[in-house]
Amino acid sequence: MSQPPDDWNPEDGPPPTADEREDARTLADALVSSAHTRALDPDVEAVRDVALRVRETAHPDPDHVRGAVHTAVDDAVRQAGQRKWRTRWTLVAVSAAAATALGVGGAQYAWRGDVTVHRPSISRPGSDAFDQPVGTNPGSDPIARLTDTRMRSYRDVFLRGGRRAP
Amino acid sequence: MRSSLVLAVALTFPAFPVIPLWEPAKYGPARHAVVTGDAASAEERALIEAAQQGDHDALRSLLERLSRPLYAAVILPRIGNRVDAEDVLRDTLSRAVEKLNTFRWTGVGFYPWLRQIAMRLIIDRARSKARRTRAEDEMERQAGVLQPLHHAGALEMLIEQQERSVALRMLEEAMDTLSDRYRQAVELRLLQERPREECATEMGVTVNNFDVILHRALAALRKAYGVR
Repeated sequence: MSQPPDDWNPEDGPPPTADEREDARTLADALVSSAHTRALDPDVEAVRDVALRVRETAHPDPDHVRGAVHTAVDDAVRQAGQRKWRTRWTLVAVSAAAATALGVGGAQYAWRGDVTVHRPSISRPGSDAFDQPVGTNPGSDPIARLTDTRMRSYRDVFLRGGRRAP
Repeated sequence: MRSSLVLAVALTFPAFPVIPLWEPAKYGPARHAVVTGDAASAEERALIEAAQQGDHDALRSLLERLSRPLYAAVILPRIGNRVDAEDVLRDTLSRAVEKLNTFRWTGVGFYPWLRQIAMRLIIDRARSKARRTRAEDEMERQAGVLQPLHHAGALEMLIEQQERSVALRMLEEAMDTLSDRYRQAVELRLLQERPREECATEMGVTVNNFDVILHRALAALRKAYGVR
């Protein structure tokens, strides 16, 4: 069969440029299934996708549809399973953390109940220091006696490791 | 042209006669093709509630039933590229599972909700590819105003048939905007799936010139190919 001459028919629009011919050839190749994976210029790819839309509209492939649906549904159900476990484990983890926090807090409260160190008052009854008569020895000096009293008080507290004796 | 489309689909789905949408008066509105029933609706509702309670079998049953028409007649005809279409289906189901507990039964069933998720993803994909054209604008507009045509519990094959009718109508309307020569090129190569050489011979041009005509035809079709 003889091919018609490669002359452009003006009824088909303006003559194509070399670039347009190249794009047209690339598109023609891309429409062959084995060439689908080739990277394409975005414009050619966009036109190729239109061609594929036409093809998929007119000639859907039941085998492909079945396979794609099967895979996607499997993934979705698996995802739902993972979400369920994630939710469950999150709940368990939050509950465990809350229980631990409560336990530790309670234990600390109970422990502090026995060993709470109350800060001793630095004030002393006036009668303890100032109502004594002033003597001539250093120990009778009211200030020294006051200091000694405070130090004894602190020492008592720390040596006992507990509250100050009333 | 129209007869060739009908022929193509009829050959693909021999069990389901295609209603020619340019003759609605003869066949009635497309939505009337969907058979509904209270029992089917109740069954679908029970499946959804079970799935929301964590029943994976119910979830699988629900998704399997509705994914086929969604993929074959909504996603694929709007994406074309199978790899991208599979991604959209996977993302749609993933999002549906994620948001399952937010679904509230309103009587129209699960499919319109699923379809809306898919349409949003298709639009997002078109945007992300920076290929926003009038087709994507039209798609977005239609996604906003689209009313669910299906009733809860509708058979998936009937949903698919109806969706396919919509896809075919979109294609027909786009094809009608092409010149006779461009339309012939698309019909020969993509609808009749004839080899390039035969197409070129049929049109009386060389194979190289046929490639150019087809390329121009598809570029024109791209502008006119609205999505609903």
